[in-house]
Amino acid sequence: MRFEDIYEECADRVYAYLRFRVRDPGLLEDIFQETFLSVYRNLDKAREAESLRAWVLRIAHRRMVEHFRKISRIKPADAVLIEQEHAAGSAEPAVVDVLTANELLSQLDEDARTILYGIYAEGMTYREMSEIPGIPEGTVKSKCHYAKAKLKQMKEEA
Amino acid sequence: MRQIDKQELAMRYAVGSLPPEQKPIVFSLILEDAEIRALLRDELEWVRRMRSCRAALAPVRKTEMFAKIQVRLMNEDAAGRGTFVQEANEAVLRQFLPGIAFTFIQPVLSS
Repeated sequence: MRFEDIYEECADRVYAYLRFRVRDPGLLEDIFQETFLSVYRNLDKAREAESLRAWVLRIAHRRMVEHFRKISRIKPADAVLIEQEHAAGSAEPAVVDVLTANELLSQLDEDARTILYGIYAEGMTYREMSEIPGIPEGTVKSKCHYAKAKLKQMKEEA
Repeated sequence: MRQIDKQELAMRYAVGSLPPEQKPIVFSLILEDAEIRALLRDELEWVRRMRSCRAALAPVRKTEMFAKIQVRLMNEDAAGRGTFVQEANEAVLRQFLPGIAFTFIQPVLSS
């Protein structure tokens, strides 16, 4: 598979994933570029990957974690930034939804947030999701159920 | 069928990762089982909420980012070639210049 094809297929996904996790736009761009530089340097491994999207997102996740270790200033994308991006083409209720969803998600740990995002926003399987932060499939499943139960309870209490 | 299995089916159906051979099972369950209908409603709500968090990459920005990546790759290639040429030059000069002359020329090569 050519590098251009991988970029075409995965760029939107990588961007959305990073945007979900990284607050600073400049940092997001750095990690995005470094992700695809790594993809380019490891093109031979792309051919062996069981799931291309999981393989590329795992690289993005690792680059992000490396940055996190280096500078310790990554936080989940806050509602304000997402609101700015969505504002142009969206009606107000959608923005409110984003805010609510983000507020609720911020109550979860990073892994649980990533898992819920990957499964519901990206339509990934448990198996694919297990590859990204590198945790067992069974753990992904239980974290997903636990996170949903916790959020449901919080919503009911609120 | 256990509740956890029904939830699993509903989730996969909602996110679109259900294999085609399992879709008829869900269809018949939807018709017969109120519990799975409720689960499916919940799961579709999750999909809607989580997809509202998904930021879009504008096509122009996507192209612009790709161009930046290509520039970085070209720069890396050029830097790699530069190192290779320098190493090749040094090897040739080391081979053919007298040792004392190489000692004088080496700082120039490294600069």
